[in-house]
Amino acid sequence: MKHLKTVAYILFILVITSCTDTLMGDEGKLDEDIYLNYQTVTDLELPFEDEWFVVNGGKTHFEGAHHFTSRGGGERYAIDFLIVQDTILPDGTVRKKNYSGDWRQNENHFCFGKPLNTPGDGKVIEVVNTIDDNQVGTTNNDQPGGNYIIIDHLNGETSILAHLKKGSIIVSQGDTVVKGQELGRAGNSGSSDRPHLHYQLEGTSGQLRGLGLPAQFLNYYEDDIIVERGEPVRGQEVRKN
Amino acid sequence: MTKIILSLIFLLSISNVFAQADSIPKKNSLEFSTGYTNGYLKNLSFAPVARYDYSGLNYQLKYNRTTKRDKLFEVQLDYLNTELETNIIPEPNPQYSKIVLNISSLKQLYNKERLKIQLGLQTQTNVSSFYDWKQYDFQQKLGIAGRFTFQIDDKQSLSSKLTIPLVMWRTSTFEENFYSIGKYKSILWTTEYKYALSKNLDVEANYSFNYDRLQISNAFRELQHQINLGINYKF
Repeated sequence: MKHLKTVAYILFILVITSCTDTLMGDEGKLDEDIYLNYQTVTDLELPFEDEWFVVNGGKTHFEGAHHFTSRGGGERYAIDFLIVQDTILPDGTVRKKNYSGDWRQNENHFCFGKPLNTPGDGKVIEVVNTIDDNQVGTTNNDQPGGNYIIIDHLNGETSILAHLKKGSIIVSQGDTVVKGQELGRAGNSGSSDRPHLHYQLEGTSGQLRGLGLPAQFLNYYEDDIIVERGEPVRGQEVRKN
Repeated sequence: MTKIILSLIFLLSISNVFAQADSIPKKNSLEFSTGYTNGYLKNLSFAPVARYDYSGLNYQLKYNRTTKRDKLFEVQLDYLNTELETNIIPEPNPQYSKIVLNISSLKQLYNKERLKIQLGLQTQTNVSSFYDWKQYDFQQKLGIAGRFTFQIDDKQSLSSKLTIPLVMWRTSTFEENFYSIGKYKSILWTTEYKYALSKNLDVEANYSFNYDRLQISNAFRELQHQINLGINYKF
């Protein structure tokens, strides 16, 4: 009788567990695999000169912030970069600030107008270059990307650089670009409330089509430490080697 | 002293209620239950995790009213505050809480001997919070519901309620959309056992099974088992 109860209990647990697995399904296994194992195919380098600061980037809800909960838009692993400088405040403390003077002026933000380069070889497949830059603190959600460039790396991956300065993009749809080639200038267009660069890597074919992918850059400095291959994370200062 | 006086007034009012004519069936009931929830969540908009597990204590408050025409009106409020667990993402477990409000109106279809069957409509408002409301998921559902009640004897009864939501409107941090039965599948099944302690008080044990599934590219699925113990006051 005692054994019968044990067997019944084990059977009950097995039924509940197998039902749970069936009802919860397999969707998301691909997402888990991308999260844990994806290796960027393109030889990527940081798309700028100078040292930039990672505002949003990384693979947790805290690091990736709003991008991490945007699977559908391909933004899950997107990175926001801007430039900061150590600034001495009136009380004597030193703080990293992304502007000097009146914060409402785009031109007072250190990254505004800085040149941006193609992070990897490929072909330009889409360009928007006519969207006005926003006043700092406001956003244009009707045209979320603002002025942007999409580069097809012709290997199943595309790079998207968004929120560029109006009229600054110097490449056209159909152009072939090589790593490091200047594309345009950082701006504050689209759903951007302050000048910054939004970068995302996206899949273009098969199951990965339209999904955001982790972008591993080669040969750069993270907080003055050389990294052969890595993913920039929120709070780091990064620059090309 | 104040506490003692208040307690005496409470006891007197209770005994007064008990002294009322026993033959009049009670039309209202108020119930408080608490129990344990064991659940699973897949929300690919929220995170690249095929299945989060969660568990924790839940609280339930329910009000029932039977009208003169034997319509059953039920309002049920559930609250759960817990954490989502996974070993995929190396971060502290996200806080997850749920407030669920069910309102149903059921018409009596059959009432013979010891079996009663009621059928009607039910709405469910489901509000989930991630990270203390930094992200949210609001779901409004509407569907059909049926309740079967079997009176075992004078003191004991068994009841089972099945709800099948047919449409859902969802607005959240992740998306805003309207879904119907093609992409949306859901079931809520509750079964309960009641034991009458007196004319005014019942104790109850219930089990609930809730399953929600959205067949979209940012898949959403949630499965929940809940066991509750409660006390029911009829008036």
